[in-house]
Amino acid sequence: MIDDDDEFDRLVAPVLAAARAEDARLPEGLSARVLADAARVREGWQAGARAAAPAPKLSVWQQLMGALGGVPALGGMMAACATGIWLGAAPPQQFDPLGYVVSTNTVLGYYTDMQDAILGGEAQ
Amino acid sequence: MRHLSGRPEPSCAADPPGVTDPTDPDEEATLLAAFANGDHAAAAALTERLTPRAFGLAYRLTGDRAEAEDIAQEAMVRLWRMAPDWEPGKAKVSTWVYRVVTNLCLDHKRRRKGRDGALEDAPEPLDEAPSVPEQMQDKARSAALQWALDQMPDRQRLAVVLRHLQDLPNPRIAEVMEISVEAVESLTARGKRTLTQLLRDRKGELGYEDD
Repeated sequence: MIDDDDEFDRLVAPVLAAARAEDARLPEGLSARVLADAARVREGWQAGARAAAPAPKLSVWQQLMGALGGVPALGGMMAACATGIWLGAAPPQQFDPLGYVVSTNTVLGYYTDMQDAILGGEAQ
Repeated sequence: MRHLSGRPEPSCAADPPGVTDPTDPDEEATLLAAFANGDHAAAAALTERLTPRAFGLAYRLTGDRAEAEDIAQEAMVRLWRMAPDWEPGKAKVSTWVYRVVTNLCLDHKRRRKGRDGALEDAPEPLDEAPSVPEQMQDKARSAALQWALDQMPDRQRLAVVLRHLQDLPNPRIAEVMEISVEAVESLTARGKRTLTQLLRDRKGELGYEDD
């Protein structure tokens, strides 16, 4: 056994030492690939956590905004309102709001006369 | 690989004097927990520590550097994936990696055996060139060792590689192989004898002609 150990030390130990030196040399790029795998795995956890996160609680205002269609839709509504106010306060010259009222009253009067004729003044 | 029953009993007396565990299980577990919490530096530290070990073991069990590279990378990916579920008291990180590498190597060997059939049983002969240049001596010795390891039974080879190339103490080898420390001692002793016998006839090729 002592002879075996002695032979192992003389013959095999240097071979093992050479092998250890060779094994210590990693193939080029292996460490970088292992680290890239680590980053990919971690990104996968983060993506999974984001997908699993509960939806944030919205305020009444945020819900209303969402129902109206958000900021772009609200912008459109405000533009339409501003246009209406502007038209009411400073109407174009071709547009006669008084004539419109008169013509509306004429039409209403016509319908009242028709009603009297049909009902024989009972409506009065 | 056949597993023997019984868990290993930690025993420093099982190791020859001067043999210390080159791994630091507590620190490896701390680093793995840090990686699970998003610390990329911890991943780099674990890569630096464990990838050479995974690659070295895979290379000596398969004899194929390209295959060993794939196996080492796969073992490390599995480690990253299971980091959030790691239970520190259950196993040692490097022990777990060694086991994964061993199993991947056995799978590789089975696949290769199925593919190559009887050719697998034929030992790869060493280069019969009469003299080896001095600068190639280490490479020739490493190749000779690989040839000898390929002749050994699976369990003997694993025990020898873990003991003499990975420098693991016997209790750690027992954990990796899931056998008793006594069984490890027996395997490594037989492995030493087998290795010596196999390399004895190749003294000339190894540069020992004058011995």
